Amino acid sequence: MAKHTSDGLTRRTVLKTTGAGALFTAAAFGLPRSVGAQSGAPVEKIFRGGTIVTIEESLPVAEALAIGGGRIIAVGSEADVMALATDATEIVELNGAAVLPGFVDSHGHFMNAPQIVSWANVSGPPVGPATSIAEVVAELKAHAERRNIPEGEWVIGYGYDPTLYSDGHEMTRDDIDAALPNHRVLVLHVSNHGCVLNSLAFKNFGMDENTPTPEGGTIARKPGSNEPAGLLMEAAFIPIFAQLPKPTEQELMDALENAQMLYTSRGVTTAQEGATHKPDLEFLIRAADQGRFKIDVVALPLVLEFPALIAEYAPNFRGGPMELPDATAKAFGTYRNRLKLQGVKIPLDGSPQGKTAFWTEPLLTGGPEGEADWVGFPLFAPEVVNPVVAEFVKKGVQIFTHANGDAAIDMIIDATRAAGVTAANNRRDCVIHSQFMRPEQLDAYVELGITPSFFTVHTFYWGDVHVENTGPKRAGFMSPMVSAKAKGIRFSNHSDFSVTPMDPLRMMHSAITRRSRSGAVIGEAERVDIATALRSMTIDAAWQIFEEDTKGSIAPGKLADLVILDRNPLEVDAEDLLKLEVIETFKEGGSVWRRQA
Amino acid sequence: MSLPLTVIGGYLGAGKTTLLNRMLTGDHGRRIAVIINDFGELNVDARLIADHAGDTISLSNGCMCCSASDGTAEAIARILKRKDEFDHIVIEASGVAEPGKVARNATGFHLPLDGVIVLADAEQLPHQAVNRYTGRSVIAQLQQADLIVLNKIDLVGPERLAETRELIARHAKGASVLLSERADLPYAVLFGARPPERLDQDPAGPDLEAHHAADYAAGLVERGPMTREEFEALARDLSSRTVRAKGHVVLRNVGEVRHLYQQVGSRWTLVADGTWQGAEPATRIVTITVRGTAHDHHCQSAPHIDPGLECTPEGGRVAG
Repeated sequence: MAKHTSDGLTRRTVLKTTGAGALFTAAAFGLPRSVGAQSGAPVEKIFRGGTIVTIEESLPVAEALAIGGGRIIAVGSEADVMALATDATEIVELNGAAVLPGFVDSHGHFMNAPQIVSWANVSGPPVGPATSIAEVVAELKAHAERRNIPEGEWVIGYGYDPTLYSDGHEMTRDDIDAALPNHRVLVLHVSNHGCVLNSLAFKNFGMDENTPTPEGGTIARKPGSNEPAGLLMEAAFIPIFAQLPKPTEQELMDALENAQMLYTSRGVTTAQEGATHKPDLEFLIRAADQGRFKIDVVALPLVLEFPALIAEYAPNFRGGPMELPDATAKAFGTYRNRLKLQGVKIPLDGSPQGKTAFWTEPLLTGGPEGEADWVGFPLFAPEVVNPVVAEFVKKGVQIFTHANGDAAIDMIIDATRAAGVTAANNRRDCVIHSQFMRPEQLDAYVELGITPSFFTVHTFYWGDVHVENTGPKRAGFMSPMVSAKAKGIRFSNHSDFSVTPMDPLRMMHSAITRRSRSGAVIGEAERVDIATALRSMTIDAAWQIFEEDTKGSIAPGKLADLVILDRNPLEVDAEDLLKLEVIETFKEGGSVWRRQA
Repeated sequence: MSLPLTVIGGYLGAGKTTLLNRMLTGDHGRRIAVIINDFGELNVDARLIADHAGDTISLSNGCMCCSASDGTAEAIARILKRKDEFDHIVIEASGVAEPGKVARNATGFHLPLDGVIVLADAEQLPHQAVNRYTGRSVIAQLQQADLIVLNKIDLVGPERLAETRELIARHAKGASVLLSERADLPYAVLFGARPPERLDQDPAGPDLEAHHAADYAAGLVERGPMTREEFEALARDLSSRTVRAKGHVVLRNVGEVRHLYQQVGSRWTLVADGTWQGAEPATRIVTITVRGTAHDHHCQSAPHIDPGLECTPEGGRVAG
């Protein structure tokens, strides 16, 4: 009997068909079938009545999909798939919706999620809801009420960006005091280089009219007075953030469910913790052991943490400070309770919008403090990077490098080449961001088998800034998907959560349009089609972490990690992509998020 | 009481780790908290380690070193929670970091900056300065130094040494340059010497070790209460002829406030530093000067004054 549910899908179970015969029929689809598909798992669900976007070249779209035992059993024509139904099979009527493989987050910072879900989002659109200071304050107050934060405790907001508010001036302590006089309030600036405090927070940090302004910092003062007005930036902000109370492990653990909802609500079924400190890794392991993960989490421990990790986990190892035990690779590449380590993270530069990336050519606008002839800087010297890369190559650990500017990209190309790597090694070493590339660097990627994880949503959030800083030519070649594809390079696309929101549809939109906040197109020639944009968040992102056999497309035997979108992204205009909605998300066949009515 | 902050910079191999080991394990009686910022590890003598928890090593002499892996500011904040247990904070800037920016990023903690000391490798510096990836960082480090320690001079011939010194003079005009082997500098230079308790004692006391006596000399400057103008004239004089000076200052009109004067190269700061605690208010500054010709000493006449830490005689209200 058909049953309408609040999410827009229709579900029912049917009586029908013999399992054995049906499986036989399924084999006739001519699709590749793995052992998993032949294990005889009962067909638990069949999706029909919409479009199955498989991301498989042999059958890009299909009419119906059968899953069971956490895996995909069959995909194909409605008649063939329905033939698999048993009396226990739930039939999900898609009513025109589309099923896609669950999105794979190819680079982000999962550990920011349990933190920021306990904060108020006061960003301007599209990241957050606030368009005025009054709305920022209202959101802070609403947040304190929703979370029952007692008076005297901290209310923390993030994403403060007066350039997106209508007021045309900075928020002050008085603005916040009017709504939250008895809470300590800190609102993080969108740059993460500053904040606005209320009066109780100033008192907490012992800051008043006698506090001198530190060199290289800003303390906004009230007109005609030396009393701090609210805003602190740079050197004045650094000690404030460092002294902010950190959430306890239990608080983080309790926040994990909401944290994962940031992903599942957007159809993401594999998350990345892409710069993992040792305490965070220990937290993730405990969370995994407690069965807290609904989605898969891929962790990349930071290279700086390896000496401490080795000291703890291999206490008898007697190597030098940057040598690895022979068995290191065994710790990588396998899930346990939905958590796996995939490789080492090596950061080589900073961010282009912060002007701390490392380029070969100077910026047109000088350095962050007006320095002339500014190319940014590397985080480590090549004498450090090269032997470290060689050691991880030797011990068989995949390398994920953070490199935004072309000079930082040169450094990892040099180090990889010096370590004797070629594409034939199939190491899939990943250069995360690969934003400001030079065209010939793509050839080096081909030679060395390096795969970029691009960051096209930068063209939206900071595209105008990048044109100003680097000129249209360099900015136009950022995250060069078309050029990379032409050379046969496989690449992913990421959001760098929480640097930008976890929003696969906007990521896709940016890869297709490369349109900035001001409406300028940043590099027309590097705009890809929707199919390529989709691959970079599904099959190619899965390939990048050696999971293409189980994830990233809808094919028999693969994990039933799925997202249902209300419309088929292959058939909407680019503009309408941003209007698509996630109806439901499945991780290995289990519903992990469903749209409320 | 103020907790002075020193930043140690310099490219890889210049001797930062050797210097930090001397600071941590030397017999100088100061409790130093060191924040480490680079790959690798300090090879602290195991016999001195009292406790090793996570990335923090506590030594039996009261010194401590910790990693800045979760942020230098976070490490400073942790140390300041136990500020009574330490006499001095030292931050190691990573091999490619700009130590001046490291120091500046810490100014919000209102710690009196006791100098940016940059080590340079006498043999390698000319190569390092033209490296396509890191040459700019190497030069920026020199430019941000209050004191440049040209290290490993025992491993270099006279021609290369002259080349290295010329390079430093070109990029870091006016910086004080000291020459060293194995980063062996007097404690009086690294931390400033404490004033002697009795007048008949050597001003530098044990902080100017015997084997440095041929190269460095200590002196004691004593004054009564000074006006701000008189003090600034004294500071200009000291920073033009000494590499290091440290001591207490009494200012007219705010005689009850004890001020701490710290000078490294030509950078000096004066901060309020509590009260005289029963002692007779007096200006007593120990100076360190360089003897002979084995050391360079270029000094600027204009002092660098930290605006946030400037002496304000009227209210005596400054950081610390």
